[in-house]
Amino acid sequence: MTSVVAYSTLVLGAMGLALGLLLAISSRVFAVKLDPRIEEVTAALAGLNCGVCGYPGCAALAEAIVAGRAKAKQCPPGGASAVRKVAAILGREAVFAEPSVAAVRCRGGKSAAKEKAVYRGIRDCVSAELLGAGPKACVYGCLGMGSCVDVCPFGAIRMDAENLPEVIEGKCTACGMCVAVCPRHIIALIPIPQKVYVGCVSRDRGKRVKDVCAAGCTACGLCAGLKITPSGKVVIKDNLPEFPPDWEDFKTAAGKCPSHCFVMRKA
Amino acid sequence: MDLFELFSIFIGVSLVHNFIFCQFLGLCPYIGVTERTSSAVGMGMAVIFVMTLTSAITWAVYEWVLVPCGITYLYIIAFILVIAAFVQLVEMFLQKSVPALYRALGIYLPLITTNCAVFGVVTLNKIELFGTTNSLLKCIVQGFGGGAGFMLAMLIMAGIRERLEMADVPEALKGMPIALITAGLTAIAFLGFSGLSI
Repeated sequence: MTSVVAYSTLVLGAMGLALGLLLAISSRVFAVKLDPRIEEVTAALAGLNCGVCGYPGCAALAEAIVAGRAKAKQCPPGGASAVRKVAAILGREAVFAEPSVAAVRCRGGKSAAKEKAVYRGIRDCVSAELLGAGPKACVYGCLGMGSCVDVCPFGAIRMDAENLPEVIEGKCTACGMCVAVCPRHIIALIPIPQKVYVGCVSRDRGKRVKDVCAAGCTACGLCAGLKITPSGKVVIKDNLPEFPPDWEDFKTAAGKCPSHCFVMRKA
Repeated sequence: MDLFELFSIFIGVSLVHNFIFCQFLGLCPYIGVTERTSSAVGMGMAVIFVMTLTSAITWAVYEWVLVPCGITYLYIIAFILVIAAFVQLVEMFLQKSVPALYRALGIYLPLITTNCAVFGVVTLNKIELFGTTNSLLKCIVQGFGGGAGFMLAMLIMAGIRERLEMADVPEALKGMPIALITAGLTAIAFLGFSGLSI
């Protein structure tokens, strides 16, 4: 009995040893030299594997960065600290992305915007857009199906009581997934210093806007011509107000707007 | 050599006794990796590859090591050892020699190390085929057939689940519950093959 146990232990042990040796040898023979910097860069990135950069996972982006095919600023969740760390590892110049945040440029919620039809299809903005341009009467406004909420890898968008997307700025990393998915291009990335933006993208004017939405920009022009910075003034272009980039004094313009189109960011 | 016998082994293991639908082996990748068709194909290819090769390897280990040493009763533990080591070896080899295939199989290759369907096919080989004539060839056919059946099941499930994404599923059944119901119904459908006499 003891000999059977000893014998089988011995044979299996020998097998294990042989296979172990085989693996040890082959790991030498088939060793693939990987650039050690790839691992360091992977550690420096955000490590969320969110895929925002367009590569399958952080390791793939790190490989591309080391090979010079990509830049660390393509990792928005990593932010400036990741760019700095990667630049230090690779001895390259740090190229920063402008810190931005997503902004929803539509205020035509349930109470403001009129609906032209009842939509019973797939709860998805792209599908709704394809099917007769969705249920809303405004062809520019938010469809309210929450595709941006679904696509956000960070849970930084939620639907508010008006059934409009609301960006939770503390969580937003400016990855741009919502910008890409919105069939109406309502969400845009705006620089963090910009405290106010126009909450409407309608290219129509006057009655055509008023007929479909109470919150839309009618291109009335009351804000136009206001000299709000030393360098420039508000102009109406494509029936929407446009501002000089160093715009700071928004209160004068916002106070003039009869539709209250100017949205002040909470943060 | 009897071609018909090989054919019936292939049909038997891929359809009539499909590993996933009829023997309920390898269910974790079946549920876990079928959310996209592309990853289901990757996993299926890796399983076909590993099942076919391990069928041959375990045959050699059994006939040339276990039988001469007289410890055939230890085949389970020996096969586990061999499969795990072999998958590691293949992984290293592919990474060095065929990087394209290595990248295509990706994470799925190491996952197969402990896949019960792979172990199931070599155990079936041992029980049904070892000791018959041309047993090595039959084992390889059975391994390949098992992998092909696995791939078929993965593809069916992935196709259905991709469509389910867009379907109007009741709130309580969203996600895993509807996937399990789908799996059950598909398995019942596959039982129709059990009427085949081959």
